[in-house]
Amino acid sequence: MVRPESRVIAIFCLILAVALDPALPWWRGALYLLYLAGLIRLFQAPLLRVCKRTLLVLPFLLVVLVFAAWSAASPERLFLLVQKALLSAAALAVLGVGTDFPSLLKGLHRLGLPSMLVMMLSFMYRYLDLLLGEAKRMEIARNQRYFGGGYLRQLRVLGNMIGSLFLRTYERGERIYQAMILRGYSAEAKPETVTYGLVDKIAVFSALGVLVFVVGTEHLWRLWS
Amino acid sequence: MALVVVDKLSYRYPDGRQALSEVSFVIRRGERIGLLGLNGAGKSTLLLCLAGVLKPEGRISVDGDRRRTLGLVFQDPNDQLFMTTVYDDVAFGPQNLGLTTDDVRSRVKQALQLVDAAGYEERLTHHLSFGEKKRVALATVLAMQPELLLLDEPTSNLDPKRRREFIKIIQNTRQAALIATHDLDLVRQVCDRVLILQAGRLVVEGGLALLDDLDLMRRMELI
Ligand SMILES: Nc1ncnc2c1ncn2[C@@H]1O[C@H](COP(=O)(O)OP(=O)(O)O)[C@@H](O)[C@H]1O
Ligand SMILES: [Mg+2]
Repeated sequence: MVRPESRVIAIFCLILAVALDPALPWWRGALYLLYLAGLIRLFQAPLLRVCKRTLLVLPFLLVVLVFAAWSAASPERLFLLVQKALLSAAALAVLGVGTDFPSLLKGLHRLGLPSMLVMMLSFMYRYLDLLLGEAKRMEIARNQRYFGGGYLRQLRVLGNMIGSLFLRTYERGERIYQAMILRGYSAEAKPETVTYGLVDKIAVFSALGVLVFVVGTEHLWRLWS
Repeated sequence: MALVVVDKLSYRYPDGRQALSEVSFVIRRGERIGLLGLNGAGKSTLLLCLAGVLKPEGRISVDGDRRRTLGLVFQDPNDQLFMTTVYDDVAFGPQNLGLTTDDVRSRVKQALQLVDAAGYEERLTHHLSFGEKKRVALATVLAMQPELLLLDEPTSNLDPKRRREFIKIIQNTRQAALIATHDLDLVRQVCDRVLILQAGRLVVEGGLALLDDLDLMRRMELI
């Protein structure tokens, strides 16, 4: 398996290359797609889910397009924008589909993301369900005893609910912190060391290759000549 | 040789509530004690004081480093399990003890085996069932190999089958234990001795025979 940090680097390089590509001629579009297909294979990401994930970008793209149309951009530029957005979304989808969030966090930790930030993100992931569940249950509990009307009073009730949700979360945070201290927590958790295999090297160096190729032929070459 | 000596322990919460008053007792090595009492009697508070989370008045002396000797398992497994995967959670303590990666791995494996959760390493914590969370929560502390387990209502909210299984698991651990509960079956099957708290005071202390003293149990409102 390719390590999550190698995946992050590879995808990041690819997106950077796409973003820095000034014109995106057809053959380079094909190159990106081909390369992405290679990464899908290497990361063992299910193709169907990658496609679905990619399409999630469409609504945002639509909004951007509407605004761009207003600003009288040329059709070519709009087309370029669409192509780049879809390619980047596909690249992110390959990362997102093939890597679960906890191991992605570990990868980022090994890439140097501060421990504190990693902890916070992982808590968010761990407790989001619980928080939403609690809010949901509270709402149900209210609806059981609420039959419409009295809107001003309802506003106060809502305020109370949010307040008590905050308190519960706060106290849970306190207990979790105690649980961490009891198990010897001391702010600076180091990531576990791991070894990297051939697939990691292939992913990272090929992506660097693509990036260097695009930047080299398009930017450096022009600068030089 | 006493493992823990508690002498005239009192604790008052910041909001003024007196949760413990002059509680004294001794825990010997390998001994398992049932800490009985109604809701609000002060069981959780006592465990938190022993673990060093709360700072009470009175004296608690532990033979050895307190943090390594005592292992507290919270009542709500969602407080105990704060990492995203089971492996990370069970490994959290051993990693902080400064063990090597290999040692951490084997500790995790061993602890998960002890709680009938072998092979759960990659599972996401928030996707576990309640019973599984309870077991893994125990594993997080077993992995640190403390000498005394402080268990807060280990069998509460479990269905009858899970409860029986959980009692088996506790029986199979080799540590001394102080178990806060009102589950008399649990105490009968696991413990050697009982302490009964009432409104923050230690009112009764003795052997398992106490549980058969129906008069006393009724007075303590435990049956
Ligand atoms: N964080 C707190 N702040 C104030 N009072 C508390 C707090 N936690 C518990 N108490 C009070 O302390 C008493 C003992 O509680 P606790 O130790 O949780 O009892 P038990 O675990 O036996 O049910 C109760 O009266 C409870 O209301
Ligand atoms: Mg309690």
